[in-house]
Amino acid sequence: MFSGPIRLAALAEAIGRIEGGYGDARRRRHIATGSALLDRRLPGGGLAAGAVHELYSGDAGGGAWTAAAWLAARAAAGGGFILWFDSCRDLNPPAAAGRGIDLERLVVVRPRDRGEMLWGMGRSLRCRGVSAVVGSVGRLSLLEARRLQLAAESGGGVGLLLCRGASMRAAGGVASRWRLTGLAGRGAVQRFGLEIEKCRGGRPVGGLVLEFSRDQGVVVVSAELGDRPGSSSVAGVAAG
Amino acid sequence: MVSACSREAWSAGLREGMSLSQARATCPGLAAERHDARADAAALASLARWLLRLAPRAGVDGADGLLLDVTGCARLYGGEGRLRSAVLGAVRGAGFAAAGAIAGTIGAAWAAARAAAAGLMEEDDCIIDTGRTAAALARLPPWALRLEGPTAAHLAALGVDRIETLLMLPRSSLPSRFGEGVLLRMDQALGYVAEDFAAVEPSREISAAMRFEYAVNRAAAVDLAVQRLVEQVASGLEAAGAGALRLDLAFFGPGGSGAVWRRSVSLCRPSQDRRHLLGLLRIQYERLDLSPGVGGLRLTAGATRPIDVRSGALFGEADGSAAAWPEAAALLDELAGRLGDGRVVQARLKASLRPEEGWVEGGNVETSKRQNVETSEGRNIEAADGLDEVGVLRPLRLLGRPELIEVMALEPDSPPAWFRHLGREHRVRWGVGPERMCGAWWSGPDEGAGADGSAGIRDYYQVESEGGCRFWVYCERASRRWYLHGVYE
Repeated sequence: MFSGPIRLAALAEAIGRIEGGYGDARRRRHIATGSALLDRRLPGGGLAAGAVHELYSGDAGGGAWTAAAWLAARAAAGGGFILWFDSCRDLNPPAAAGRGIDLERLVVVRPRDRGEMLWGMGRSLRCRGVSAVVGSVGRLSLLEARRLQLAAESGGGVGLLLCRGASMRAAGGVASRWRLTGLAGRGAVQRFGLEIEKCRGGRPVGGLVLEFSRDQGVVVVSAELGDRPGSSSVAGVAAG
Repeated sequence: MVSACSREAWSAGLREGMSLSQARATCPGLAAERHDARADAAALASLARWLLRLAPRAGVDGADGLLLDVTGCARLYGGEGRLRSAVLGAVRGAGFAAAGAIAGTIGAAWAAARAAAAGLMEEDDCIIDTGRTAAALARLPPWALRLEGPTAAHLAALGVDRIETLLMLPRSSLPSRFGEGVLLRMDQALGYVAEDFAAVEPSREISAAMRFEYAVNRAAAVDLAVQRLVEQVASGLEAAGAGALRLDLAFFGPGGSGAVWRRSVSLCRPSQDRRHLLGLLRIQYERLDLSPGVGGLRLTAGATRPIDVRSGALFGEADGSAAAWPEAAALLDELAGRLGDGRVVQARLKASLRPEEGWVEGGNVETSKRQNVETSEGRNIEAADGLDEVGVLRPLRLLGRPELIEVMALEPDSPPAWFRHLGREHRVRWGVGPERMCGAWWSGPDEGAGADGSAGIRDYYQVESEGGCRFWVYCERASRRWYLHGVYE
């Protein structure tokens, strides 16, 4: 008969396979974000590749783009392209380069409407030479999110959806949901509050701060008490 | 200094070697252009290539001559006289003044043609039979043997003013007195030493065409025809060891009419892959209305580049990304094909005084390693050496057109304390600045207008609102209005 630990391991694997959706869970790899603090808390030790993740912030300047640039640069560290879908011509490539993206691997795509954007993102995610696809598509229905997820699974890259406001979030079907909020900065260091509200195969992560500065680039630190602006409830937890 | 003049200028009194001011004084209404030797050489080479329709081999001789190898061609024209008339007629018809001669050796032909141009020989005598070379060249001056200037002058000074005189001198004495070249040129002209010329390569355009007996209006048939043409073009590319960078597809109307529909497809990386090329072409014509009928098709590889078999090494990637390149290139081509020109771009840093111009778009992804970049208009722009420090401090999101904001500032030259943008109010708790940016001083006050129509001087501030969000705002000096230019998303 199976002994206790082996049974537990087999059970955990079975659950992982069910939760992990279609496809072999063992084959899926994870992208280390470079921050030990964050990687420790993510299932698999990093951002799940072959999946679509959502990054949203409540208002302008919330930090979703910085986080997306950072994660995309990490995803492309091993080679491959970053495709940034930017219909409004808002992206500033020199600043993206400052946040870690290699401009020689960055391709900016300008679709004319939502249909073209969804088609482009899906087609790009399916390509094995693409490490990350970033775009802002507005509210995704479950079917659309599922299609993007399947495309990412077949291509192995990472999809990063940028949303502004809670109402623009996808109805479901994304592998993880990151929430970025603006925090008081410290001079040259810009700070954003980071929470992972939903993470497939793992637990929600809270109490982290994403800091960006010219000298250090993007780093993740733990939030200290009293850093949140205004009257939002305090949930900061020191790192274990 | 004048290097060449037209017939009208000659009759007005201009001569070669005159200075430009002297020429303008002689002929007031003179139109002068700078002598572009390279353009001249290129034009001569293309003329040589054009003459390949009349002779199997053609080459360029010096700065103003062409050599054609017409061995065995005379019969096609009905005699050497007709051949010469045909060639000269073609060249003169293209707008050039020309003189030509046919002979058994390059040296003799050169001599006869130049002599005819200089008026020393009759046009009718310019066809020299092989056995009679020496007799035909006898009365020409020594420079006609292609001798160098000093040697020819030396010979003239000694009174040797005809080739027959030169031929009568003892051969063994010529090298010591006039140099080695004289003997060689004599022997070449008379045919004792073989000589050849470097021929131009014919322009090889890889293309395939198909004409239908009757007009076809079924999409499946047209698709099949395009597949066949792609197969032919791809085989041509393979034979040439190159990949296509641009494909031009043209559909002809029914009944022998000209091209009624044309499209070009650009690739970011040279490709011979039939499936990839066919896929890109299909995007262009799959939605066409073919009801009038298609009479024929033509597919041309408009631009090609040699393919390096070790293509992964081109980009310096030692890791597995080399394998990802073909797929990624195919994806970028497909995106560009479906979304249109200028919608799939890469960014190159550009040194610029204005933040919105800090980068340019490069369409061709493969040119990433080059420092000087061509924009879509073909200008060369110097790339910034690397990311300057300031670039890092720029906002990730830069608005295309800065937006007007209402501002309350407590002191001049300090960040605002409060601003309202699109109805939302932000109270500022931290700010840094001003950072002054002006347009280029050489643009003048009227040009160099910024996106907001200003004359150019702006004071930028980075401000952080109480919610922790950072914005990039500026005050436009001339109008004292404030704008939001970017958000540190």
